[in-house]
Amino acid sequence: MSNQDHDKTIHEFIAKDYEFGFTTNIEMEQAPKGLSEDIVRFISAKKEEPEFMLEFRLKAYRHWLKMTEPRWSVATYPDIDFNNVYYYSAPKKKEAKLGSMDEVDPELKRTFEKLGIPLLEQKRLAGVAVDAIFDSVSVATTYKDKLLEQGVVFCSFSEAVTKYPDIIKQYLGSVVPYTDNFYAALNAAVFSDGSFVYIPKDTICPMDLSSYFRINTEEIGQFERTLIVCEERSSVTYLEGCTAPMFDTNQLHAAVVELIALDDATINYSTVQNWYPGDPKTGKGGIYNFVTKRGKCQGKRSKISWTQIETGSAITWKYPSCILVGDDSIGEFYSVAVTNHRQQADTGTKMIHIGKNTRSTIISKGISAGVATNAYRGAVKVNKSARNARNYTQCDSMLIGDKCSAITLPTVDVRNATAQLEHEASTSKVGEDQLFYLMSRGISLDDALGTIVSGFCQDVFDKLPDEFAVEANQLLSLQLEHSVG
Amino acid sequence: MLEIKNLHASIAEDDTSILKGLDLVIQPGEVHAIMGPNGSGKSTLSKILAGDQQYQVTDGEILFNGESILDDDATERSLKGLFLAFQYPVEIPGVNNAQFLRMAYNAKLKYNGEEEVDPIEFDDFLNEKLALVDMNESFKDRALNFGFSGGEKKRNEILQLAVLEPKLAILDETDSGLDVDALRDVSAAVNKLRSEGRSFLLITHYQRLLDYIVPDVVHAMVGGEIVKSGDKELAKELDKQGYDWVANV
Amino acid sequence: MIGLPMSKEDMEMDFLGEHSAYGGTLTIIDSESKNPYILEFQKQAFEAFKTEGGFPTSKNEDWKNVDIDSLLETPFKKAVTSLPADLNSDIDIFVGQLSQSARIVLVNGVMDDILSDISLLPTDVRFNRFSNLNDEDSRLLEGVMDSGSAPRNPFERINSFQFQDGVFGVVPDGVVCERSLHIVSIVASKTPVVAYPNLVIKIGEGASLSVVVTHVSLCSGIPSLDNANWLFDISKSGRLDYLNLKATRRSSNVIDTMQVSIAEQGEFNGAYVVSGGNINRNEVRVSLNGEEATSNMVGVGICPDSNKLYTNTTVDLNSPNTDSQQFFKSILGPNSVNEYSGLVYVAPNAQKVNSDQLNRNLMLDDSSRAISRPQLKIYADDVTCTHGSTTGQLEGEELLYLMSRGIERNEATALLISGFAEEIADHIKNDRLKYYAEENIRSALMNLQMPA
Repeated sequence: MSNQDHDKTIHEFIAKDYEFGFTTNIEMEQAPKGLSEDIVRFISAKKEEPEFMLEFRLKAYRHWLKMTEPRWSVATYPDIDFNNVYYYSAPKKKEAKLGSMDEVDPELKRTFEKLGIPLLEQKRLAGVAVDAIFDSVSVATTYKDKLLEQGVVFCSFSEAVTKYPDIIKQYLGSVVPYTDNFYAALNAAVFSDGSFVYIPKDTICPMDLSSYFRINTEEIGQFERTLIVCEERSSVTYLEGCTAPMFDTNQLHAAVVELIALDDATINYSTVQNWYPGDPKTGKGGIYNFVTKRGKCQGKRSKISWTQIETGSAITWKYPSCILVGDDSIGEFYSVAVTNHRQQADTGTKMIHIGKNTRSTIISKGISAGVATNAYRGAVKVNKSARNARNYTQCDSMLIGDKCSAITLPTVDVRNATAQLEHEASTSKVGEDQLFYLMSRGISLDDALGTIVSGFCQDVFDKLPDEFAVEANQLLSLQLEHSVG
Repeated sequence: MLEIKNLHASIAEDDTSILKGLDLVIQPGEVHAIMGPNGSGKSTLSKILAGDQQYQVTDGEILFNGESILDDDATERSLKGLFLAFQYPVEIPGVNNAQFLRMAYNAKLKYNGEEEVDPIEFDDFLNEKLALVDMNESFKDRALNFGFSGGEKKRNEILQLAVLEPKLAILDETDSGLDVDALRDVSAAVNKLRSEGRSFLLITHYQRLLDYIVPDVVHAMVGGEIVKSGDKELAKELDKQGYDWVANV
Repeated sequence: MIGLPMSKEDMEMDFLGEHSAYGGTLTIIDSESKNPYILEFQKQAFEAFKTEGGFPTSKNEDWKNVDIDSLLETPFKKAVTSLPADLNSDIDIFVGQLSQSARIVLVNGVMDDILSDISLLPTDVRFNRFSNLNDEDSRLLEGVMDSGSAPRNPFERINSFQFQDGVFGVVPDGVVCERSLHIVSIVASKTPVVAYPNLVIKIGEGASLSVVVTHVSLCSGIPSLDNANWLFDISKSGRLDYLNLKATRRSSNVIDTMQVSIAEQGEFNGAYVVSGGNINRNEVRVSLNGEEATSNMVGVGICPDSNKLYTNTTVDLNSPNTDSQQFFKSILGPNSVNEYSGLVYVAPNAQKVNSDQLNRNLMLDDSSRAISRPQLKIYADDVTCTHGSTTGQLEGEELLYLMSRGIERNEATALLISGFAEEIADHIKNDRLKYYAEENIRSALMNLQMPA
C-alpha cells in the first residue's frame, strides 16, 4: 500500500454495520405523542400506581415546565421537540398480567434471543438474572423467585411500586431529586419502567443481576428508572446493556439510576452501552443518551463502583457519580468511551467527598476517531468535613486520525487541608510505529489497532466482570474497525 | 529465497534518497551479514524489506520466494515468512506479551490453512520456546516490550522469531546494547534456529556478532549500495581497516 | 446615601463613575488628545461591555469563584493623577529604590514621564504614552492592537474604555536588552480608587527584553484596585522574559489581563510571584501563531491569610511544532483561596505540538480552598499533551526523612514549604528575573504561619 493510499484510508470510514439494528413487529399500545399532565396521569393510571407516585410525577412535571433545556455539553444537536415524542409505548398484553415466562409474547422472546439475551432461565448462563425492558415496560425478569428465597428483590420498577411501596417511598428521588436537572425532572414525570433491586442485610446476592434495555419504537423516549438499595453488609453486581434499531430519526433515552449503599455494603454497577450511534456517514439517527446516574454511599465503609463501556449513541451525556457520605466509604469510576464517525460524547463523573477518610478513584479512557468529539468532564469535591479524603484521577485520551477531537475538563475543588488529590491526564495517538511492529508479526491492521486500543483500555477492562470484558473488547474492535488504513 | 534487484528507495516524507541501486541474493539456508557505517542505509533496508511505509521504493524489485512483495503490506510479508527483529523494539503498554504472541502465531496458522491453537496448547508451545532462548516465564505476563531493558527487548525479538518460525529472518543490530553474556545467549538461540530452509540476514555495525553467528556471506554497505562482498574474512578486514577502505575501492 | 442599602445596579454605576453601565453614554477622559483609533477602540469596548452582560456573574465559569460583590460594595472611584504632596513624596521614596534601574513608572494608571527613565536600555528602545506617539509609532500601535483579540473579559473591557492614557513600548528588530526593565504600577490615594494601566509592548524580530512588573499600593489601609491590561506582541525569533510581582497589602486588589501573541520561533517566558493582597486575578491568554514558538509560564501564589488568588490561562497552540509549558503552585494559609484554571487548545493541523500543564496546591489550613481546572481541547492527533494536578499537604514521608536526620519538625516543615515554593524560581530562565523571584518568594514565606 502506498503512503498516499494510507493517508486516504485514514480519512475514509467504512462502517461496520450495526448488528442490532432490526425492529420487532409487534402490536404496541401507545399514549398519544406529546407531554401534558394528562399524559403523566395516563402513565400513572396505566401502571395502576398508588397516589404517592402520581403526586411525585405531577410535582416533577410542574417543576420541569419551569426548567430550560441545558446546553452546556460539548455536543451540538438540533432542538428537541418534546411534544413530538411518545412517552409511553408498550407491547400489547395478551393476558391480564405479565410475569411468568410462559406469558411473554413469543415475538419478544425471539427479539431478546436475537440480541443474545435469552429469557428462558435454563438457556441463560448460570449466575446472571435478567430484567428485559422493551420500550416503556419490563417484559420479563428471570430468576425472580429463586432470588426471593434469599430475600433479594429483583423486579420491574412498576411491580416494586405496588409490592414494596415503603422502600420506594423512602428512596425514590433521595439520590437524584426531581429538581436535580432538566432530564431528571422529565424522567421523574414520565418514567415508565425500569429495574428495582433490594438486597437485605448480610446478603451477598447469589448471582449477578442484569438489565437489558431495548428501544424499538421510532420517536419514542425511553425513560427508565433504576433503584438499587443495598442494606448493611450486603453486596451486588449489576450489569446493564442496551441496543436499539436503526432509524433516521433520533430517539431520546433519559434514564435515572439511583444507588444506595448502607454500612459495609458494596454495589458494582457495570454498563455496556451499545445504542445505535446513527448513520456513520451522514450522522442521521441514533440515540440521544442523556442519563443521570448517581450513587450514595450512605453507610460507613460502603462502596459504589461504576464501570462503563460506552460505544454507542449519537450523543452520550452522562456522569455516573458518587456521594460519599459515610466515613471510610469508597467511590470508583472506570470508563471507556469510544466515539467514531459523527458520535459525540460528553461523559465523566462527580465524586463528592463528605465523610471522613473517603476515597475515590477515577480512570477514564476516551478514544476518538473519525470526526467524533470525545470529552471527559469530571468534578472532585472535598467538603470541609471530609478529613483525610483521597482521590486519584487518571484520564487518558487516544486520537485516531486528525479530524477528531479530545477534550478534558476536570475540576478539583478542595476545602480540607488533610485531603490528598492527584490528577493525571495524557493524550496519545495510535503510533504508526506500533501498528507497523504488530503488522510485521503477521497481525492484520484492524487487529493491530484493536490490540493497541484494548491495551490502552486494559486498566478499565480489568474491572469488568469476565463475561462483560469479552463483550466490551469485541464491541470496541467492531466500533473502530477500518478506522485507520 | 530473497532477491533484491537494483533497489532504489527514499524517505516518503521528503524524498531523501537512501538506497541507490542495491542488489542482493540470499539462497535458502544461507546466513548473510551486511556491515556498514552509520547512515549507510542498512537499517533502512531492513525496514523496507519488512514493509515500513515511511520509505518508498522508487525503482527496482524485491522478490521473496520468486514473487514480488512490493505491493504487500507488513502483515502480508510477515505471513509469507519474512521476519524482522527490530533494532528498537516498540513498547506497547497494556498488551500482554503471551496474548500477543498467540495472536501472531494464530494469524500465521490461519494463513497457512491450519487450525488455530487455544491458550493452553499455546502455553506449552511457548514454554518450549522460552527455554530455547533462555527466557524466564515471567516474560509472558508482562506488557509487550513495555518497561523492558534493552537486553530483554532483544531477547523478546528472538523469542518471537522462535515462535513465528519464518523463512527469512532479518536481525537488525540485534547485538547493539547487549553485554557479552547476553550476546552469547542470543547468538546461541539464533544458531539453534538455523536450518536448511531458513535464511538469515544479519545487519550489524561490528564484527563481534559474527564471531558467534558465523555467516556464509558478508557484504559491505556504504552510501546505499553494497560495495563489496566476500566470506567471513571480509568482516575481520572491515573491522581492522574501517569502511573507508571499501568505500574507496 | 448612608444607611440605605444600594442596589447592585447602583453599585455598578458607582464603580464605573461618570457613565452608567447600562444604557448610559461613554465619557472618555482627555478625548481631545486621543487619536481616532484609540477613541473608536474605547467606544467598542464600552458597547461590548454593555451588550455582553456587564459585570461578571456567578454563571460565568471563569469568574464564578471571584468575589466581585466585595469589590462592588467598596465605594471605588476612578483614580486621579494629581495627588497631595505627602503621597507624592511616598512615591518618590519608593521610586528612589529603583534609581539604578531602567524603569517605567505608572502612577494611578498613567505613565509618569519624570519618574520614568529608560536611558540604561539601548537607545532605540522607546516607551511613550499613547497621547505622545509620533505618526510612525501610532501606526505601529494600531497594527499591534488590531492583531490582538477584542477585550474578552468584563474587567478587561472596563479597562479598555476607562483607561486615561496607555503606554506603548517598542524594542526594534534585532535590539537585545541586557538589563531588565522595571515597570511599576503604583496606586496612591487616600480614598478607595481604581487605576487602569494599559500597556502594549512590541518585541521586534530577533529582539529581546526582560521585564519586572511590580504592583504597589500606597494607600495605607484604604482599598485599591489595579485593573490592568497588557498586550505583548513578540515578532519572529523575538523573546520576552517577564516577571510579575504582586507583594501587595491586604487592602489591595489586582485584576490583570494579559494577551501575548508569539510569531515563529518567538519565545515568551512568564513568571508570576504573588503574595498577600485581597483579590488577585491574573488572566493570561497566549497565542502561539508561528512554528516553533514557545511559551513557558510558571507561578507561585503564597497566601498567608485571607488572600484570594485566581490564575486563568489560555494557551492556543495554533501552529505545528509549538511548545507550551505551565507550572503553577500555591501555598494556602487560613481563609485563602487559590483557583487555577488553565485551558490548552490545540488547533486542527497543529501537529507535533507539545504541552504540559501542572498545578500543585499545598493546603496548610482547613479554612483554605483549592480549585484546580487543568483543561485540554485537542483537535489534532499527533500531539503530546499532559496535565496534572495535585492538592494536599506536605508528604509525610519527606517530613519523616528530614526528621530522622535530626531536623526538628518545624524546621523540617519550613524547609519543605520553601522548597515547594522555590522550585518555581528554578524554572525561570532569565537569571536576573530568577534572582528577583527568589527574593520575593523568600520574603513572602516569612509571612506564612507554619502549620501546627
